[in-house]
Amino acid sequence: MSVLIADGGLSGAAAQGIVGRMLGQVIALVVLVLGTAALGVWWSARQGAVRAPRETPAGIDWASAGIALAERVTFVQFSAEVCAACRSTSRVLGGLTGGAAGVGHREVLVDDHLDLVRSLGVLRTPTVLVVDGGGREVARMSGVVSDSQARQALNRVPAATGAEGEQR
Amino acid sequence: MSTGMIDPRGPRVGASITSVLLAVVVLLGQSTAGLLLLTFMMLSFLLGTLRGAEGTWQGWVFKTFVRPRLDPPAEMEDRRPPRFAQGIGLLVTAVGVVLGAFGMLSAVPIAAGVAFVAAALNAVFNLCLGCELYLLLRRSGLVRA
Repeated sequence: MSVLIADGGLSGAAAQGIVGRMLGQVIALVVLVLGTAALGVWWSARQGAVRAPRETPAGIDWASAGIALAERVTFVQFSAEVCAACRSTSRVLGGLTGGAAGVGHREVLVDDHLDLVRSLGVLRTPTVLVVDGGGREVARMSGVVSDSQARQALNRVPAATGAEGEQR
Repeated sequence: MSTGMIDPRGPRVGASITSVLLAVVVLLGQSTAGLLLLTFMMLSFLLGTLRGAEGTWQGWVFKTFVRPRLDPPAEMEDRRPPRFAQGIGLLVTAVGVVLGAFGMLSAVPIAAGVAFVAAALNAVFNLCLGCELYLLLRRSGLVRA
């Protein structure tokens, strides 16, 4: 702007043109910042949020994939080696399942289970599937999972589901 | 050099500095000054791609001025995801620089804007682009374990 003031010979139209362009760039940046903020808030709100189960092929054979299900409910966590959010999620779920009877936590590496990852529609790490004793997915979470979110997911499992649990 | 753990706050501080500079490129618009600053950012990303985020000048700023004032980190982070993010930044800014150098100056603020989104999300929300994309790349077979 100081250039405009110093150069008195600049015509009004040219000055307006420069100011107009600068204004356009300021507006572009403001829109960019607001868009980024909205994206970030949306992304943060999704982290660990308990979602309905995805339609997955029935009869996933967890045992043959090396995933032994617990009696009542199992958190099946898909992780990657380098993923920091996977480690904190693993700590949260490990702490939660340590004291609860019939509740298990199994963590697998996506690299070892790409077929399972594809058939279950897992897109990112960590993704946690909440699986009942009968092998059915009852909820899923992706992104870093907090303790309260994990408890919320547990509450989605009817109290008496097991291999032969009663229907709701 | 390929494995190792780093302070996770380093890449985030670096991403903050990077996003401010990329915002300046957007403000400079379709100009030679914008192209020059974007070229500088591209070279910074090149450094980060070759040496990891901790090997950039932003990493040096963190190590020299910020880290001495902080407590030790609660947890360390694998250095590979931040390095991958540097590679994404290199790709995006290089497109802007090449197109800009061939006279398509409008590509300069656009490329800076795209890189700004990724850097700012990393800095403010701790979104790790490499972590988000890793499984998708693995599933598509573009990346091997």
